[in-house]
Amino acid sequence: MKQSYLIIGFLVGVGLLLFSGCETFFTSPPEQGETFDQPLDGLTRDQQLAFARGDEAFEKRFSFAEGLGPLFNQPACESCHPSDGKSHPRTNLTRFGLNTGTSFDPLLESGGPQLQNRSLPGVPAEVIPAHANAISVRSGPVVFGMGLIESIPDSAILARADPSDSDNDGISGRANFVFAADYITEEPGPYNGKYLGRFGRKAGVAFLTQQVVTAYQQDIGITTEYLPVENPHPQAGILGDDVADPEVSAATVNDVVFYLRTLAPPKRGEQTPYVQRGEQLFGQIGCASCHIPVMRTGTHPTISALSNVDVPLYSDLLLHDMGDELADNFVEGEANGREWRTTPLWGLRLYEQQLGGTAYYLHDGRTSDLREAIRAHGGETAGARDGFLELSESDKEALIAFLRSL
Amino acid sequence: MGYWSIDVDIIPSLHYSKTPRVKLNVVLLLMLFIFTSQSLGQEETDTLPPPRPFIRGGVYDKPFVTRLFGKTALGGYMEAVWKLEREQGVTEEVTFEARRFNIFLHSALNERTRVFAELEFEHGTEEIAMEFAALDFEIHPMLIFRGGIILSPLGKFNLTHDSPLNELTDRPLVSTQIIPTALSEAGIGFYGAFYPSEQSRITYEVYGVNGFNDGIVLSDGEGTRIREGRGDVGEDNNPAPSFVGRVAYSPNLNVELGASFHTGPYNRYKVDEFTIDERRNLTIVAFDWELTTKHVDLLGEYAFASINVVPSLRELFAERQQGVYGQVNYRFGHGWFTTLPHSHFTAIARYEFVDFDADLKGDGHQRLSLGVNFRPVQDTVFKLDYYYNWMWSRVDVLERGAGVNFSVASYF
Repeated sequence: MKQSYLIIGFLVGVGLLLFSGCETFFTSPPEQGETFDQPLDGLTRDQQLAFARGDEAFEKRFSFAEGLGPLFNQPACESCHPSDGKSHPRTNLTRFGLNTGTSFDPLLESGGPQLQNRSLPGVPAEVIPAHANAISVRSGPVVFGMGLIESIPDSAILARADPSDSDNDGISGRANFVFAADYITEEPGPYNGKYLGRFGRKAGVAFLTQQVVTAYQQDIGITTEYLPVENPHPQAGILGDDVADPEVSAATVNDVVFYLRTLAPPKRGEQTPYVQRGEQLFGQIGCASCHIPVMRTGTHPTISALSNVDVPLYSDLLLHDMGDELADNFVEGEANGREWRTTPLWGLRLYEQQLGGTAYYLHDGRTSDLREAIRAHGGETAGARDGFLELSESDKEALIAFLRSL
Repeated sequence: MGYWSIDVDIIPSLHYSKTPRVKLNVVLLLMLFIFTSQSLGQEETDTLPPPRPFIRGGVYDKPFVTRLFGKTALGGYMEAVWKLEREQGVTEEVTFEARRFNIFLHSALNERTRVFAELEFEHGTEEIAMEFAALDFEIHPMLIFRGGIILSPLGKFNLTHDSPLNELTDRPLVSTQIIPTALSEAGIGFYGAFYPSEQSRITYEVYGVNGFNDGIVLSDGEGTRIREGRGDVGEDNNPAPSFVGRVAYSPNLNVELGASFHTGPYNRYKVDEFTIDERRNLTIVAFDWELTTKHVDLLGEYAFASINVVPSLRELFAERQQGVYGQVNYRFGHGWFTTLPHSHFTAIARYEFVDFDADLKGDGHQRLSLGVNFRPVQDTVFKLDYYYNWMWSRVDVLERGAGVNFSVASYF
């Protein structure tokens, strides 16, 4: 009997130890605002459920039996946006086309404009045709805060546009006006039939649903009820796979769209005096002319969490000439081969954590050094770049510390 | 008409008088009784042909009923689990699980011929599979033929994976992800044992089997997952067999060291005479070790897999995977309970790691498990174990998870 008491005592002790140190022994959740995958505050119960469904669909990795391919880049949304953040250069996408200087051909007949470098076994992957001269390598951007970006009124964005640099500050941001896909709306847009683009590296897409549907089709090779046609493979004369289309329902697409729409940006890091000094310098040398610290949403019809709130994205969502070093010669909507949409800087402090300890900056993840990323700025942003290079070493450090606090 | 329905009154030659008729009837009935009794009795003697079964080869004419009575045995094991699992602080699972109910059947047809089968029910009736169904014919102790659905001798764990045998509730990661236990395949081959000395023994098993299929890359978007390509026992998907084998050396009763392999094409590269794709091979090499003393066991397994991947899927689907586990079992408390003289406890610690893509930093899974078991009798075990997971994504982001299992498993 003595042993029985010992055993019972041991088990009770182990149980108490485990449950008293629950978070130690059973892992703890990340702090609020310290990751990219948390929902906005204030969602209703139904909205939280839709968020959870969208989260699951976003993580879903498709197999060939489920319709992956015949051409694709990655098997899941999350592959290019790990933890809802920026992609690893290993999963970069490549777009190609023919830029004659006066016109741009996306080379649809040769499999353009996106290179799908993966394929169903037995199907050759695409290659970049020899006559393509506009080759744009891009990493997947962060995907949080897209509902906030979507909810900023056109007028707020267009108010900052200065295509002819009428104020002579050297910055001439302009909007990218783009057509909507037929499955989004057949209503002509307000700008000569076009809409204001705000998603993608060159703001080439105006609607979040279109962004998601296109990613399903182009990046994963998955057809949806919105776009039930496979991305063809003209280089091999293949039109589709053996899985019946559509491979994903409209409801699932809507869940993913809702998930992206309601993903919250992370909170700012600690704002020490040193960081605040860096923020001042950021404004003084002209970085904040394009990387606008805060914009504000209008009234959202269904999601109150998106209505009339500040959006600390550090972007004007406009196109800017970024100079030769970053030029890709690739035209997208009204964006030319030297223009890129100002990349939002929010969440920059978590890039390393979200990519296993190494951050990859710029549109193609070419550098892990923020100074190098700033040095690559040219064109309209050359003035701000030079301003940074002329700072003292301690001021540069302060500015970098500010960036690492975002 | 049968004998019993003969009416003697219809036989005119026997109608003499009333009284004699009655007497005659009695005599005739007596004769008929004797005749029929003799006729029936004759069927039970050895001089007549054997009884004719209702249907020759039918359900009551099976050898296990007619000839092997007492030589066919039925058994099995069951396992039930309660588990709690959390990942990154979020409770993923709190559930009871009727994990397995396996039925064994063994029949010794004669001294040299045996049939063994194992029918597995997983998660109730969610998955039902014939895990083993093979005939053994002993030509010599060093050369025994085996054919049917065999348990592939790839690593030791795959051969000894019954829940009541294992001290922890969950199987080792390497033995489920790199060696996809339970790996059973249709095939034929030989096994046997040699005894170099009085104490030592060398055993071998080698079989030709159907092998794996394209599911390795087609079934799971996660990447290369060998488990998803476990072959169909009905038909090979390509014209070339795979081969699997294991050699084990045991210098004495307490030690065994094993080396095993599985190699062959996994993809469907030929249809009839038409070559439709390049042949792609999967090769798995495994090493296992086991040291057993009165109180302590040291055991483990290492496996390495090389997978030919179609060029357009390289970097996304791993071409090399590997994994290892090491485990210590310590038995104590024998006879602590006087009413259970054969009972004892076991304390267990296991470390394991699986690298799902050996060419990539990331895409790995590491686990540490600690457990305490109680065996009231040797074939029944109550297990309580705790584990902590470290999981790296393909971009090398670490996620942590942990859990507790309480399970019971027993042979019957």
